[in-house]
Amino acid sequence: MNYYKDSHLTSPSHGLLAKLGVDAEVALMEEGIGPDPDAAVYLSGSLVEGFGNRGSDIDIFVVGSLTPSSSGMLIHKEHFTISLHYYDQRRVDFEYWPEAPVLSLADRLATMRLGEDFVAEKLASVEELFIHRLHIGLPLRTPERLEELRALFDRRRFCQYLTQQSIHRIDGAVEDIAGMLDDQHYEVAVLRSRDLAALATDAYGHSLGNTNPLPKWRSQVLRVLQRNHPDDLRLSEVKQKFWELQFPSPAKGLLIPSSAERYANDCLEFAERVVQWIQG
Amino acid sequence: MSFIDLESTPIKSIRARRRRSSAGVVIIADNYHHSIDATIDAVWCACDGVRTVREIAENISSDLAMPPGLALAAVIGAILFLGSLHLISWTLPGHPTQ
Repeated sequence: MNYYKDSHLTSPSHGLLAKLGVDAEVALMEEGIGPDPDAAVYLSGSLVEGFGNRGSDIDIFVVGSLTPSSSGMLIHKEHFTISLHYYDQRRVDFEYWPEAPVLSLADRLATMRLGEDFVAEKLASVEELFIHRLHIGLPLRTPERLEELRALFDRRRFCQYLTQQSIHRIDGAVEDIAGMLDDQHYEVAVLRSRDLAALATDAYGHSLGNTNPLPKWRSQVLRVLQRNHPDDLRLSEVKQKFWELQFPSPAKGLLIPSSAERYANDCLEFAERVVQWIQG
Repeated sequence: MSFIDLESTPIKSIRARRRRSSAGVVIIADNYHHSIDATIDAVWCACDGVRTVREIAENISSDLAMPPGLALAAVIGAILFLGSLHLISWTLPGHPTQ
């Protein structure tokens, strides 16, 4: 028995779409997706996470053997196809992923040697986003298919990958900053130091279970992490230091060499402390 | 030959990073990766610019269950190693002398 087929109007995904002014069943039917498709069909994206805004589009994933209908505008990517629809002011993207690249992606994550030296960029950005959105997705059809798909991607392992990747990026930034300071390139050193503080913040977030890889939601991620880890004093410190280092006062003074060096050292020290918290 | 002032306070280089991987612990600086053993790692972690070499040796002796004389020798050896790679520096008043 398909729960959502019979009582879809009470499902979280249908409810959320209704709040956004989109009738889920109309949208699904326009795309030719019936009540029991040969695919995992789920709602995901920033609106599901509570991060989105009135300009955010709606992402509906279709993973399996279904192909897009001709009713939407199609955008073909390397591994998937997007079918675009518009409902009033809201854009709805149906993202179609065939099974083969998804299984290949799951296999790459499962067989990745996470302890080895360089794991960074072993997954493409779009693949990281796919895994994240799979884990936060809300089923629109056949929830058991979504659960089967999710089970292929170990969330803990994915967090370890993202954490390790952030630490590799930290290491790259530290080397950049050292060279920039040595050559007295203070403007770029200050900006790279600012990146470093953000990368350290990302690393700590991933170590606590954040799977969202998008920098644009960093502050929202911190807010959610604090809600989920209210007793984590290190997280409070990371959050406070992140904002201090993003907007140091007075920012204009940073272009004075001594101030630039001091700011860079603050960022370096912060990043190192955070990595030690993560790695022990 | 170098000598170590036991009252000097070594401090990690701000540009050096300690990283743990499946292969063990490394310290990275200037794009070089230096593998270190557990004793050097313990010394590195203790180089906070506050503790003196003597205090670090006392801590190592206690933490790693080493006889005090052996711990002091190990700490001096580790500090000379780290110093030769510019992975630590010294805060006043003590610093290595030739």
